[in-house]
Amino acid sequence: MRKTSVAVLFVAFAVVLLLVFSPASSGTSTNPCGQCHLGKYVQHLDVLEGGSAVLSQIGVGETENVTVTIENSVNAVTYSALSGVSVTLASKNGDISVGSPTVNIGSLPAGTEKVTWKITGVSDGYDSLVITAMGVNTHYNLPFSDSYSPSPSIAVGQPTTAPPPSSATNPLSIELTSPARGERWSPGTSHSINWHTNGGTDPLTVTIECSLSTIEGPWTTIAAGIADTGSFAWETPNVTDTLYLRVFAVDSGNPVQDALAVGAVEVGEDTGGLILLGTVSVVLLVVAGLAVIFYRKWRAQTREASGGHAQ
Amino acid sequence: MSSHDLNSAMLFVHPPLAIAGYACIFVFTALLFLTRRREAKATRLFGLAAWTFTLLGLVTGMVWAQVAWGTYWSWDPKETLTLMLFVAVSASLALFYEKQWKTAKWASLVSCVLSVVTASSSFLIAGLHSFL
Repeated sequence: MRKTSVAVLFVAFAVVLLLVFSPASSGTSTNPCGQCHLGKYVQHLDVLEGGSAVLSQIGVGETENVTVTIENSVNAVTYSALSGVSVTLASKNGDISVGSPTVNIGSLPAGTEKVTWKITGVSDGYDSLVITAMGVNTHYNLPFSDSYSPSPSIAVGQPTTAPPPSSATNPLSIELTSPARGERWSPGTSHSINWHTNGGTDPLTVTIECSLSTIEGPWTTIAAGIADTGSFAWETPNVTDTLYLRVFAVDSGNPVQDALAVGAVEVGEDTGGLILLGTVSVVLLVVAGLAVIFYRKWRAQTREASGGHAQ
Repeated sequence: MSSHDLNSAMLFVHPPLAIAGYACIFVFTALLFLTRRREAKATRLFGLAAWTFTLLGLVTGMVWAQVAWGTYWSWDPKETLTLMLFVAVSASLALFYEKQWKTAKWASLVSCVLSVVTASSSFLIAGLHSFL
């Protein structure tokens, strides 16, 4: 056997052996990622309802701590950390004031993190707190968000009215359906931002905001308090960057419920396909050119050889 | 896979190498079938180029998969077909070097069929490469 054929077969055999006996040979990826791994990758950013210590009563002028647990739950080891994670605590009715409402956590590895705020009773009444968490997996610019409003409401001071009914029976949720994950929009073109709401008390109002480059904001309002039509036509800005979009829905119930959904879109011209086509064409032309050159050389050699025989 | 996942410099390395491998396989097979002097330098060169490009396509694909998907090998249909193609090309090249012309011809023909199946698998079979 020739050395070259032994080397060729040895390399092929080594590659097959390496792959068959590799740690990933079980057929499942060690870090499947989102839709590109056929839904095997699962990641959620959750405001844990069970892990949130929210009081039921506070006096006017009294200050208490509110502690909330958020979780980055993910079934992968690498690329699992969320970046730009922030948690915001807001009062619905203004009977409670929150010192430093937004807590920036930054990077959140897989697991849980506790966040604590100081809240102060401002005026008599029933109020609710809304906890909103946002973060992004920068590996694919996948934004995550969750919001939670503990029920029942908090009694502030001496409320003169009856406590509002619990809204837990018809919770409001919202899903951003367009832009879809990984979508690319050209700058300065008109696109439809689509969402879908579920639950809550009609009529719902929706606010759409965007942030360039980072999920941490600042957030610019695109549309405020519009009707819940499920769609809004919008012209993309003339930039080439990742654009984060968030949609808030607020219902007309008592207490008021709200829900949040965050999405991302790449704004820029999609030239990758053209460049790839060009590169592939050049490669094919080079291979075809080499084939022609070698064929002509071979033909010349054959003619030369047959001419020599004739002489 | 979304278009975002293709935003990588590897886009200009891995697919051209794989396509060059397919093209060289066809030229190698054509030279084996059409030329009389099967030991000609061109046939040997294209055989070696087909093998090298297919191997490099496989290796660069693994590197890109590690970067993009976090794993260098996941037995995706296209990955598995490319591995079969590499084995077939290796066999035909080894047979060529061993001067087993007839068997080498048929092995290279199998490589051509596998090239077509591998290239079109992105459109036909659901898998990680179903982004086209």
